[in-house]
Amino acid sequence: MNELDEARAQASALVKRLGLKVPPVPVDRLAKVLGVRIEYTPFDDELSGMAFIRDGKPVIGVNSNHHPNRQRFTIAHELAHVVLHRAKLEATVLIDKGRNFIPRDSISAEGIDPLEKQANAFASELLMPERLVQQIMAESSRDIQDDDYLIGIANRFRVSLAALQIRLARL
Amino acid sequence: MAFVLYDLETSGLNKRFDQILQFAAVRTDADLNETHRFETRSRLLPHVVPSPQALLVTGHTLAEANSPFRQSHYSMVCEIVNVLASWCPATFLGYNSIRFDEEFLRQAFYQCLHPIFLTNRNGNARADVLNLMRAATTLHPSVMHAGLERDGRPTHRLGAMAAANGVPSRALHDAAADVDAMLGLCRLVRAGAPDLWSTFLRFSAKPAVVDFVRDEDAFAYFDYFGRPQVMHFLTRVGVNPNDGNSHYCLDLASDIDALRKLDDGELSQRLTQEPRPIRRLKVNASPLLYPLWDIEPDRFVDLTEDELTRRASSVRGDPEFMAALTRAAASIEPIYPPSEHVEQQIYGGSFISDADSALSRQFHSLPWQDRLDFAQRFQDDRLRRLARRLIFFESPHVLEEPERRLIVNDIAARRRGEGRYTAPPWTTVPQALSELDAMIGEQSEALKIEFRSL
Repeated sequence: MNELDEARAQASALVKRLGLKVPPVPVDRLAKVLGVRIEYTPFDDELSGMAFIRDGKPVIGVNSNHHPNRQRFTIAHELAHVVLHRAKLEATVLIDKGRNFIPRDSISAEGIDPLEKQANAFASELLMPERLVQQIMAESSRDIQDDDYLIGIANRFRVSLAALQIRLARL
Repeated sequence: MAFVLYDLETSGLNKRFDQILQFAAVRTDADLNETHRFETRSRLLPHVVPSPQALLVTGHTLAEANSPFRQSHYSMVCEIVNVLASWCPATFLGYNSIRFDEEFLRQAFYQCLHPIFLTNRNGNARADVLNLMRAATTLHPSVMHAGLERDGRPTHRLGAMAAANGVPSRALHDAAADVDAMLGLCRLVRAGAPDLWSTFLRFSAKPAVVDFVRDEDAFAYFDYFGRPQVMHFLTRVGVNPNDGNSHYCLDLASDIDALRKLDDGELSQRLTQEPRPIRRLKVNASPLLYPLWDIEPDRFVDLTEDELTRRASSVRGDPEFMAALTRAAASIEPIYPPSEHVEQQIYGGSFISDADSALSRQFHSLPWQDRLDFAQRFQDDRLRRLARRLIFFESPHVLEEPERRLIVNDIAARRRGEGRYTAPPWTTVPQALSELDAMIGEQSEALKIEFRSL
C-alpha cells in the first residue's frame, strides 16, 4: 500500500467509526471526537485554513469567509495533517516560531508536496466515502456526464461539483 | 482578512429620518491588532431637526451640529464610502449595529446614491458585538461580566460593559471612544472564550447560516430575549415567501402533535399566541447557532439531545406539516403600506438596477452643474428624487429660482410640521420644544434657548 492509499484507508476507518448510513459526513463533529478544536477566523482569501498545536492540543483554523462546502474540505484536509502528520505539526511548533502551522493555501493546493497530496486524498475519502458514493450512484441509472445529476449528488455530500468529479474519476 | 469596528452618533433614533453626525472606525488585522483609524463628522442637513435628547446624550450643541466649519452630510458620506471601500474585504463589527448603526449607514448611503449593502456584499461579512456580549455574559460569565445600571440592574450597554470588564473608555457616546471600548471587549472574548468568538465569526456571513440551518435537522439558537432559557432548539420548516432572508423555524419544545392537528386558520391563530412555536431566523443577521452535539448537556433543560433529534426528524419527514407551518407563519406577517416619503422607500421598491448603479457612480464624478440633467437618466424614481435633493443641498444655484423657493418652503413646512406635514414621522421643531419642556437640568435649558431660535 502506497502513502496515498494509506491516507485513504485511515479516512475510511474514521468514517466507519461514525457508522454513517447516509451523507453528509459530519467532519466538524468528527474533529471534536478526535479532540481537535475548530476555530473560524476571517483569514486573507488565499488562506483556506491551517492546522497547528496550541498548548499541546491540535487546532484547525478555518476561513470564516469561505463557502461552507469549501470549509468542510478545509477541515477534512487539516484533519489529515492532525491524523497523519502529527509529528510534523509538533515539530513546527519547535522549529519555526513564526510559522508554526501547516497552511492550506494556493501553494499547498498545487498538489506537489507529498504531505499535501496525502491530505487531499484523505479529505476526498473522508467527505465522499467510497461505500456511500457507490450506494448513491446505484440509486439511479442517470448518466454521470449529466451535470444536474452530479450537482444533486454533490449537494448531498456537501462538496463542490469539482471535488465530486475528481472523486468519481478515481472510483 | 480585516475587521472593521465602527460606531456612529446620530441626530436621533429614527433610522430613516435622522442622520449621522459623527462616524468612527478602526480597522484591525485578524488578530484584532489595529492597523488603521478613521473619524469624521458632518453638519445637520437643512431638513433635519435633531432630537434634544440625542444632543444631550452625545454632548453636541445645536450650534456645533449646524457649524458651517463642518463638512456637509453628502461630503461625509462620500468620505466614509471611500475609506471603507479601501478597507474591504472585511468583517464589519458594531454594537447593536444590525438594528441601529448599520441601518443608519445604509440609509446615508441610499440618500447619497451609494450602494447600500457595503458591509455584507462583495466578500464582506458583518456581526453584532452586542449579541456577542449577551452570549458571553450568559455562556461564559467568568470571562465577561454584565455591566451595572445605577440601580444595580445588569445591562449590556457598551459603557457599562466596558467599566465592568476593566476596558478603558475615554468618553461615553463619542464614536471613536466607543469603537475603542468595543475593540477592548472583543479582545477579551477572543482570548477568554475562543469557542464563542469562533461561532460568532462562523455565522457572520449569510451562506454559512443558510447552509447550517438547511442541513442540521435540529440546532440551538442563542436568543437572549428568551431568558431564563437562552438556548432554543429549532428546526427549519420554511422561508418567508416575501423575504428570502427570513427563515421560519419550529421551536422543538412546542407540542408538535397538537400543532399537527390544527387546520390552517387554527394554526395561524396559534402562531400568534405565547409561547410562539415559530421563530423567525434572519439568516443575514449573524445569529449565534450551535449544533446539538456541541452543547453542554445541562443546556438542554427538559429535553435530551436524542429527543430533540427525534422530534426534528419527525417534522422534517413531514413536508405537508412544514408547508402548513410556513403558510401559517407567512399569513401573520405584518403588511406595511408603501410610504410616500422617499426616505422610507429604501427597501420598499425593487433593488437598484445595474444600469442605475452605474449612473450613480458617474453622478459623483460630475460637476454639479451637469448633475441636474444627468439625474433625469435614472430609471428609478427614488434616485431621481434623491439626486435633486442632493443638488439642492450641495449646489442650490444649479436649480432655477422658482424650484429653489419651492424646496425652501417645503423644508420649512417639514421642520415645523405644517401644511401637508401635520403628522410627520420625523422630528419637528414643535416636537423638539415639547421634548425639551419635559426635561430638567442646565444643559436642557441651554438647548431650549437654541431650539427656540429655530
